Formats: sequence, structure tokens, C-alpha cells
Amino acid sequence: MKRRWISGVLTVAMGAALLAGCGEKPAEQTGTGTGAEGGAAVEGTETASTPAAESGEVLEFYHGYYHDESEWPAAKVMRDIYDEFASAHADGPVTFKPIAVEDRDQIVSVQVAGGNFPDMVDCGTPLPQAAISQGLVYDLKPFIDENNLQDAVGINYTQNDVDGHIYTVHDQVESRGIWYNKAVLEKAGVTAEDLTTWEGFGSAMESVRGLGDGTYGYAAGQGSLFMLNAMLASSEEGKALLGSELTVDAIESEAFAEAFKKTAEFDQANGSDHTTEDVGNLMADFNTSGTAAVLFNGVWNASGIDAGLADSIEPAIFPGNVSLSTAGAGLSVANGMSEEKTQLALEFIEYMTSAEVQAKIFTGVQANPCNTTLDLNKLAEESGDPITMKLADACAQVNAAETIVVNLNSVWGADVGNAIINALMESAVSGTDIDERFELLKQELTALIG
Amino acid sequence: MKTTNTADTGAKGRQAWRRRGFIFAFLAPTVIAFTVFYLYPIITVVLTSFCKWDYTNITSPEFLGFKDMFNNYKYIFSTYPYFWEALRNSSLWAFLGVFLQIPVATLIALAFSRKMRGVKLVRNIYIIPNMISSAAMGMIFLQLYSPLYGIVNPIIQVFEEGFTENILLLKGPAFWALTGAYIFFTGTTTLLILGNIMAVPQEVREAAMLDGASGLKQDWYIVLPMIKDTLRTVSILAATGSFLIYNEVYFLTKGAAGTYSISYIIRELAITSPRTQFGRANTVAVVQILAGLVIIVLVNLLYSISFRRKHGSGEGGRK
Repeated sequence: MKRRWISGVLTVAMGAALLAGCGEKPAEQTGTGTGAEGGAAVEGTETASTPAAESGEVLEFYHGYYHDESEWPAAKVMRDIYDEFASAHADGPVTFKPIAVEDRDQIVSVQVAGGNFPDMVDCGTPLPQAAISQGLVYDLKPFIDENNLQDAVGINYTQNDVDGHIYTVHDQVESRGIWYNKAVLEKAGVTAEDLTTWEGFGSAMESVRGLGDGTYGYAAGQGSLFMLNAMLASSEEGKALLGSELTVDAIESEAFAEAFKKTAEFDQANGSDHTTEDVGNLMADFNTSGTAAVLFNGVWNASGIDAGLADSIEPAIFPGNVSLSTAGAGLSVANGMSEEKTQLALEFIEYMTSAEVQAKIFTGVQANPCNTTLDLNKLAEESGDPITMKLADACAQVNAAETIVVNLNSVWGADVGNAIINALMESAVSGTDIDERFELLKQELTALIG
Repeated sequence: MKTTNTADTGAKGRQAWRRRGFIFAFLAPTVIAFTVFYLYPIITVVLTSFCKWDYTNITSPEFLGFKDMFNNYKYIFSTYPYFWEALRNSSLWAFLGVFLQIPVATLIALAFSRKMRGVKLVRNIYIIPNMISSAAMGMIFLQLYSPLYGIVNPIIQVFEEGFTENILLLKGPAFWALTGAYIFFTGTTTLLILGNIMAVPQEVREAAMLDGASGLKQDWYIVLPMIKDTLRTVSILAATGSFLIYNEVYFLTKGAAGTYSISYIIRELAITSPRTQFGRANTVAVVQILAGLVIIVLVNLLYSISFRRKHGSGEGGRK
């Protein structure tokens, strides 16, 4: 009897707990999205007692600045920018809720696969075509045009135009050139002038290797893809190839073959011991220990330069007066949200591309801002920071290059990019037959686009 | 009398129903969970492998039609450049899981089962690396294999002076470098085996000792046959686990130098490809599921044959 009584009590308790769990109303309603699916999230400003919170409308914004300030100070600067916006709109009808996550692109992939899109996200990788084809993403172009934000969004206006629609605006431009160590080059008897042609670059790297003190040319692998990218831009045929999706004709083209083989030859001479699929693995050799002469990295590398090497490291653009500048994917808004939420999302984009916030992005985050109305040199001078001045120099050079092309990955796809990186890395092993490896790569790429 | 019989039958019937009811009630959560979380996804994976399912129709996979229903399979088997390489590597890793990882784990478990001073401490230390995630392990091995800072190149240089290549980029060595990054981390397997070794009754060992069987003979003729079911289970786990390797490939090579794995290409097709090729990725997943079943059957067959032989020779000995 006693046992039955206890069982009964337990059953009732479990039932009550279950009902309570099921009945709990979610704290907020998301647009077409369903909230974070996996991954640690750090929530931004809490405005629990505001009218927005009472109305229940929340605009969730996923971003990738989850890092601790000690790990990456720029992340804190970005979070502060977001939080300022949230505070300024705390009394509005919708709560702006920035959420820092490590896997924002995974969240996008998972949601898009299920026919959803997060309310708002700062994408780290190209926006999935599936999101656009399903109409999950809001077209920002009418808003940009109506509010004359063309200069504010800068390169996004042309590069992110998909058949007359703009689905994403990146507040920082992904701008790449090269960084070189003046002291190392001088020691090898090379000048910066030598790096303005590919032939000169090859000879310069040979001279650096000749030092025989453990100093090497550059971190190949992922970096080599940028090199190939820039080499393609050196010819009209190659430039045209970067203007559209990869085709069989492009794979078979002379320009592609020449760019691959030349890059592979440089890489093989540079050695497989200086080859990595993630340039971050060897970045310290350039930024901290000064054992690498050149680094193919974005302008943001300025923030990674060790104070002891600040006088030696200088920015430049790729040989042939080429730079890579890609708007890439950034702030993207879900389609089909309530008018209030959409309005707040659009307001946030206007805020992020405003001159005031863009100046903070330049000086605080040390990235190339998308807003073209800023005077970067003036901002750098005002900051008085030597590294920010280098950043201004790097941005100015990239923006003023004779030829500016997009990152190959953003047009041809990351799977194609990975295949090329793997082929280049394998070619870096001494004795590898580059022609043979290229033929194999052509087959791989043809199959991948099939 | 008749009434009593009817009442008895009724009571028995109710009891039987109650028993069945209990069985169903206890099984229901497992059956429901299995159906929702395993069976349904497996059926979905199989069905969508016959569908066009990519970025153009992400929420509504379309059946390719009976005429073209094997198009995804044709693409994967004859066009996709990494499939056969991935299948070969994953199968080889599964093979090594059974024939290298399990023997190593068993030998270590046998050593740990000996009553020696300090064995408990060594056992605990041995388990520590197993608490590190395979992703973190991947990063650690990336440093070990680094031609600039790692310890592997200096060892190679003892035998081959002036060797400076990155072994993760050399076809052949790269595969073994990846294998080395996971195969010897057998902590969980070793513990499972050790637990069973410890459960072998002391009387059996003593009887063997009286028959003159030394330590190694005891292990071979008494312990191993008695723990064969555990060995079979851990072998299946090791083989299927090795077949599914992903993290090591992702962190060490990204598929370079012929190191693609089946799990890695599924990600390539479904996530890395800008065309989000879910249909084709699921085709590879079907192969993965089938391969998993084949692995289970083969391991079972292997154990049945080898222990039947051993059992047979034992009987012969007794005669």
C-alpha cells in the first residue's frame, strides 16, 4: 500500500514537471528562425524590464565575436558596438539581442537546411545559395537605395549584388595584399621594389632562402591560394575567370594552368616544411619571431604584429599591382519577420555602416571599413598608434591597386578552393611532378562542379 | 470445480496481460527513441539518396524518377573524385581498429591485470589522454608533426639526413601519421577489457595453475576465451569508430595527400560545397551505413571462426 502511494506521488510529480516544462513559454519569438541550435552562446545586453521585453518581440543577432578581451581585444570592441545599439533601442518595441557564438555559420547551415534563417546574423562564410533560392533572406537593396547608403556600404553595393538584389552587407571589407619584413629582405639583398613583379618575387624568395639561417620565404598552402588568386588577376583572361562560377572552360584555360603551375613552382622551392592549410599555424613566424620574409594576409594582420617588429614589417600589394578585396558575407536579415523587427534590423545595418561606427571598426578592430567616405589616414593620425598607421597604409594600397579582384573562394566555392589548396600543398613536396598534379586537379575540379 | 477453473484461467490471463503490459511500457521509450532518432533518419537518408536535393530545393527533395534514380550513386561511384580514396582509407582504418588497436588494448589490459606495485597509478595515467577530445588531439599532433617545431622530423633525420618535408603532405606517410594520431589511444577499450579480465574467477586460474599453465598460457587458453564476447564488442566499436574518423582528417590534413575519409567527404558535399549537395552526401551516408553493417558481420564472423577453432583444438587436447 505504502509503495503504491509513493509510486502515485512520484507519477503525479513527474506529470506536473512535464506539463510545467511543456507549458513554459519561450522568452522570445524569433522570425523565421528557431534560435541557436548547438554551440555555446554568450548573450549580449539584457533588457528584461523594458517595454520591448514585455511585448515579447526579440531580434536575435548572431555574431562571431565571442572571444575574451585578453584573447582578442577587437572582439570586445565589436561587442561594445552591438551593446550600444541595444541600449539605445532598449525602449523600443523590439529587443535587440546580440548573441556571440563560435559556430554562427553552422547555425546558418542547419537552419537553412530546415527552411529557416536566423533573425539576423553576421555570416563568416558566403551566404548559402540555398538561403537565397528559398527566399529566406531579406533583400537590402531597396533600403540602401531609399536611404542613399551606397557610399556607406561601399564595395558591398556592387560585389554583393545578385541579380539586382543585395542579401548581405559586410561592415568590414576582406582586403588582402602582402606583408613583408623589410629587415629580412634587406639582409637578403632584396628591396620592396623587387616584389612588384612575380619574377622579382621568385628571385627575392630565393635570396631569402639563401641566407641559410632558418629564415624562409612565406607560409605556403592557404597563403598560396591567395597568390594564385592574384596571379590569375594579372591577365585579362584570368580576371574574367574570377568574374563567374568555375566552368570546364576555366579549368582548361591557359590562365588557370599558368597561375597554378607558377604558384606550385614557388611553393616547391619554398619547401613543404613551410606549408600549411591554415596560415594561422605559421603566422607567428612572421609576426613574432621574424623568420618568414613575407605573409599573404589581410590588412587586419596589422593588429597581430609584435611590437618588436613594428618597424620592420610593412604592407604592400601583390606583384603586378593587384589586391584582393571582397565584401564577402556579413550582416544578413531573415525574410518574413514582423515589420518592427525588420525595421530594427535595417536600422542596425545603417548603424553599422555609419561613419561613426566604421571609424571605431577601423581604429578599434583594425579592419578595413566598408564605408568609403572615411579618411583613413586622418583617423590613423588622430589615433597616434603606429600599427593603425600601418593599417591605414595597407588599406590605402589595397583600395588603390590597379587591379582589384575578389577572393577566389567566394566565386568558385570553398570546395574548389580546398581542392586547389590540397593540390598546391602536395606540389610543395620536393620532386612532385607539378604537371601531373595539375592534370589530376583538373579532373577533380571538373568532377566537383559536375 | 468448473467455476474455479474458469476463475483460475481468468486470473492467469489478467496476469499475462499485466506482464505484457509491463514489458511494453518499459520497452516503449526505447522503441520510440530508436524509431525517432535512428530509424527515421536512416530511412530518410536512404530515401533521399534517390532524390535531387541541393541548394535549389533544400526543403523539398525531389525523387529523381525510376529511370534516373541511381544518378547520385553513379556520380559518387564514377565521377566524385574522392569517394574511392575515402572508402579505401576508412576501410583500412576499420581493419587497423580490429587488428592493431584491439590487440594493443588487450595486451595493455593483460599487463594492468597483473598484481604489481604502482599498476593502479600507471592505469590512471594511461587513461588521461582519453579524456582529451579528438579535436584537441588533432591540434596536438599537428604540432608533433610540424616540420619546423615537431619531434617527428628530428627522429626521421636520424635515419635520413637532411629530411625537411612535411610528412602530412607525403602520400603514404600522411595516412600513417593520421593513423598514429588516434590508434594508440585505447583507454576506454582497455578498461572494458580489463574489467572482464578481473571478472575471470580466481578458481579457474588456480585450476589452470595446478594443471601447470604459466601466466601467458593462462591468458591465452583461459582468459582470452572467457572474455571473447567483450573482445567481439570492443572490436566492433573500434572498427566502426575507425571507419567514421573525421576530426583527425579535418585538423591534420583536410584530405591532402590522399587522406580523405568517408565522414569527411560527407561534410564536403553537404556543407563545404556551395551547392549544398545533401542528396549526394546522403548517398555516401548510405554506403557508410551499409559498410557499418558489413563490418559488424565480418567481426562477428571473425570471432566465431577463430574461437571455434580454438575451442576445437581445446577439445582435441582433452581427448
